[in-house]
Amino acid sequence: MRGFLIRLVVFLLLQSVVVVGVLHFGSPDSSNHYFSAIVDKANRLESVDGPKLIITGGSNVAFGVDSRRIGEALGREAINLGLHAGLGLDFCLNVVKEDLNAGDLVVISPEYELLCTEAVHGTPATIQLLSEHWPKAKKLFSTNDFSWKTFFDHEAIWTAHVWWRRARHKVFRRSAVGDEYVRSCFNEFGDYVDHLDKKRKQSLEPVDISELDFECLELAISSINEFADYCKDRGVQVVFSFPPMAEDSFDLCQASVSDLNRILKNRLRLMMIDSPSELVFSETQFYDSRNHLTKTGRRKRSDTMIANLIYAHPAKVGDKVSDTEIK
Amino acid sequence: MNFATVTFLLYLPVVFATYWMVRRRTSQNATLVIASYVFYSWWDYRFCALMLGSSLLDFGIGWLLGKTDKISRRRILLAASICANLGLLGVFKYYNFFVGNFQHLMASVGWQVSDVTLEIILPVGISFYTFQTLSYTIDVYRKQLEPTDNLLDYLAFVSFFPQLVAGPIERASRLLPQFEAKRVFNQTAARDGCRLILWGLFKKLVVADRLSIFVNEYYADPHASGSHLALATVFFAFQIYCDFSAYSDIAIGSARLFNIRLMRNFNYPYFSKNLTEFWHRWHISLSTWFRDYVYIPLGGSRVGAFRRVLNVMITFLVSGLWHGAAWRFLFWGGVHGAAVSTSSFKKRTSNTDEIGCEKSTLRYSTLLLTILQIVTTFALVCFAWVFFRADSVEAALLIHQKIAFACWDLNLFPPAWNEIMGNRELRSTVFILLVFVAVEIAGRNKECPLHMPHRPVAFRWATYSVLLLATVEFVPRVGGQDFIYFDF
Repeated sequence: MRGFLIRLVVFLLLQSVVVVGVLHFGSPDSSNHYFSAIVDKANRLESVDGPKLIITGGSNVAFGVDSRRIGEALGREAINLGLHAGLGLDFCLNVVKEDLNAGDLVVISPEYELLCTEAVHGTPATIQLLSEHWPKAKKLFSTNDFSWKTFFDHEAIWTAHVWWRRARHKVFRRSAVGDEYVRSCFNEFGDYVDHLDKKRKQSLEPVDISELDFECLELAISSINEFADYCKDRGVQVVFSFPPMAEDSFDLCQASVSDLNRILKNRLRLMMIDSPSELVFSETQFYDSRNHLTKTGRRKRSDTMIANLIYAHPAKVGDKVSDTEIK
Repeated sequence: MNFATVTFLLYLPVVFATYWMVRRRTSQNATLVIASYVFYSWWDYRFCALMLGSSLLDFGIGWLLGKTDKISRRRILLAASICANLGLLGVFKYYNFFVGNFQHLMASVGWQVSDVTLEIILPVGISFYTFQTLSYTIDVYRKQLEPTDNLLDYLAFVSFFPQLVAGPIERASRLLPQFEAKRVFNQTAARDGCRLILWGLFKKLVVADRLSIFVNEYYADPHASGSHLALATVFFAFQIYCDFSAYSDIAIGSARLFNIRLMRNFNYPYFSKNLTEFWHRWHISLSTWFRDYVYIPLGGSRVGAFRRVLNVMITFLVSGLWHGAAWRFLFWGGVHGAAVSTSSFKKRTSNTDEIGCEKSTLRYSTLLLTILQIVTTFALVCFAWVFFRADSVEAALLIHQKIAFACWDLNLFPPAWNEIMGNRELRSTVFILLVFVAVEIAGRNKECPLHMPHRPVAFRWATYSVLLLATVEFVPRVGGQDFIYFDF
């Protein structure tokens, strides 16, 4: 027994060299971590006086809108609260509630995955990571069901993989994986801007949402409606805008996207300022994922949003805008 | 609790330490029973009551069988055990299947039967521990085994957590005496166990779970070409092999840490030269169970040719049904049954005995012929896997049709090749699969390819370290999903 244990301990000690290396090199730089940007976003949300334009969603919003320009076009101070779809829909909505005043305008633009797939709940590892960078976030998750059981049963191996890869990149390539994803690359409005002049990544896989998860969709609709009622009670206008979608993804799941649009139109108690087909972009207008637009794509999407917001703005809070009105 | 999780990797050392600290046999068995019930309740604590009930019933029947020599009473007791165990399976696993088919049959002759299907959760591993307890009462009935009067030993035998959920299905005559005997720590066994666990984790997390991504994608795509489906079928063959054999490896490895020896469940099945040999190498614990408790009682091979073929067919159809309550599993069993019947019939005419046991070892002179036989057997196994993996028999037939058309048009390889070349993830998966096959070829004479007693320690440890790192490096996002055989 002793011999076995000694060998085992020595072997594990040798492995621990790798583990320590991974922990050292793979740990995210907390002060400049991508998720730390939420602190700046929240500060801006709190500090801006006067009617605000708040745009929220996952990283499609962070990477894909020029909130400064949209805000200027509408005569409002803009705050881009988009961060990461892995945080789930509830986070995207609850973070806005932190500082809302009458007269503010909120644009919700969640990823398709946040509407009709399991992703609506967010992933425990991402939620945990954000909470490490911004402890205040814990109260913003309605489920708040992070448990060590779930983590060790489902997330721990993947987390180890992510840390290992981060460490490997840092050691062998002299840079961290996704170095561009850091807090300092957001501008003061909360837009992610570092990628705008970079070359786009090739061969991105299309997103397939051809099978809607109606249980998740029901959950998403109820969350958004609850949020819309909350805003309405406080004199805040809230509108819904679809996220961008690549042409090949749209071709793949046009029928389900159309179903989704129809269901949302019928069920959401807020304005929908656009339709999915308006937000279809060429594959070349996506940067490194099918949610992140390039500079050209971002400009086009921002123009569309400005036009639709200006058109929809006169409508009363909580009213629906018909298809023809939108067009 | 899933083996391929950090939870299990933390749980196992705790049980290991407690088990060897208590030293006394009874305390060790109590530790194992508690650990096994905690392990099982990780899915749903209600399942524990079912397993305990099943265990107590068969323990009681075994005890009563030991008290009587009267044939009629013994038969009644055996029948009670069989009915109770199969009844349990019938309710939890087959009720909806049979009721659904009965309704369908009635509807086809114009009678409408009201819907009486139930929403039943299938308890994990029920087919495995039911068969294990059943083998106990049958062996006691046959007087091949003395019934135990120690409930703790018996509970440890039924619930032993390494093999509880997906086997190997152990015989009472082999496993129970190990719980009845004093156990001392065996360093060689423990080291072998660690190696098996490491190899099993690699197979599951890296090979099986990676392959599952493409298998799921292509099988779910109604527009997938024959070429893609053929590729997905080959992938599935390796996915299910790596998934299930990984479970067995981790089970056997974990058991060895407690100095308990479980039977080998896989012996490089895809190197088989015919289907009979395949069944001597694939899921060995189940195929020998069916041989001993179904095939031989039916008459085995000591009957006429027609009856022998019938016996083989019945055995394989029951085996198919054991895997799941669906027609596709019956078809899967049927394909294997037909193929094994044919080969055993051929062998019978050329001086062979028993199902698939060659008496004269025919040595083929050329390597080419052996390779051809292996490839042909693999193709036949893949043909049957389609029924196993597809959502229904109709879907399986459509897949076969698409693959056949692709072959006919001589268009089987180019689209798959283009897909592999154009998709980085797929390319790396194929590479990993090829490396895995190479390792299997190199280590085909060993129980575990990591067993390298003649290599220096530094080399061995470097290999283990590389394997650990490779597991962390190549594990896919879906890594650690449930083992396929949990569904059975």
